[in-house]
Amino acid sequence: MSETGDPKERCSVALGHLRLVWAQLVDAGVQEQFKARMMAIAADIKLALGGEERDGFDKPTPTISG
Amino acid sequence: MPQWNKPTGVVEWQIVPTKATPEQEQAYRNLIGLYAMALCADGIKSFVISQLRITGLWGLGGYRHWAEFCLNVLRMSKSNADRMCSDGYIATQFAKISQPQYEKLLKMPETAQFCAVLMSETADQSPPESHQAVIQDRSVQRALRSTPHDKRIEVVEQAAKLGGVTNKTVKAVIDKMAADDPIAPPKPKKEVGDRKRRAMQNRVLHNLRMVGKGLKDLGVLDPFESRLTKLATDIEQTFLVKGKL
Repeated sequence: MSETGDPKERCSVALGHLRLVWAQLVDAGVQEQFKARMMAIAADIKLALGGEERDGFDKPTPTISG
Repeated sequence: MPQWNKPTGVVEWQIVPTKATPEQEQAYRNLIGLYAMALCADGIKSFVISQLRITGLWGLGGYRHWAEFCLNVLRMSKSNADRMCSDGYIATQFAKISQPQYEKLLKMPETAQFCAVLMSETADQSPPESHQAVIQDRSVQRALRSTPHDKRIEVVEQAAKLGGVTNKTVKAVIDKMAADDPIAPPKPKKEVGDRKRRAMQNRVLHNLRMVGKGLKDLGVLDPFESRLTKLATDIEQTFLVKGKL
């Protein structure tokens, strides 16, 4: 695991392996039965690690312009 | 001078008739035709059988035409032409097989049998009209390759009866054969082999363990440990069930 102290970086690294697991489940064609659990675990891990990933990994936050 | 346009799956060639006689051009076409059939065939045996049965060139005029081509068109020396006409060289060049394979090929009973039939049939006849099975369409090539070996010659022969061996006639014959063979069992869906299944399972579980290790390093494993363990167990079970993947 990353030694960096950046919480966003740590969050992304922790979720990285979970993403690999997901990709392998997709490859094996058994992703659907694990989808809900995987998403829930990923969301909870993210929350436990600060709620933010490294730049570019999070969905863009809607902004109000003008 | 004719240029070799080395086929890369699609059979094609260029002929630039400069000093070649019509006979030499025909010999060139015939030889490229053999190459085309070698590409369509999936093995040494089918190559030999196809060339002997369909063209009849090998034991009849192939050597002579090729020798003339080497000498008169390619302007080779006699010794080089002889070398180019050797069994092994032609086999290697046109069938893409090795010398040991070719030697094995010559010992096959089928080879001797077909040679004997051809020689006896043509001993007092003029050389038969040659045919070429030049299939340019990749989809037809694939269809021909997937046709059972014992049916392949029949396909080409029937296509010839329909007016010539072309992409269209070959495809028509293959389609008709498939339609006339309702008892042919459908191909079973290929299952993932046990070894591959285990490899996939190991990769998934390894990455899941890495998730747990990462969380442990960060001191937040406790809330997730039981969920990850249960998830790993379920994934393991899924990968163990044959046919599930």
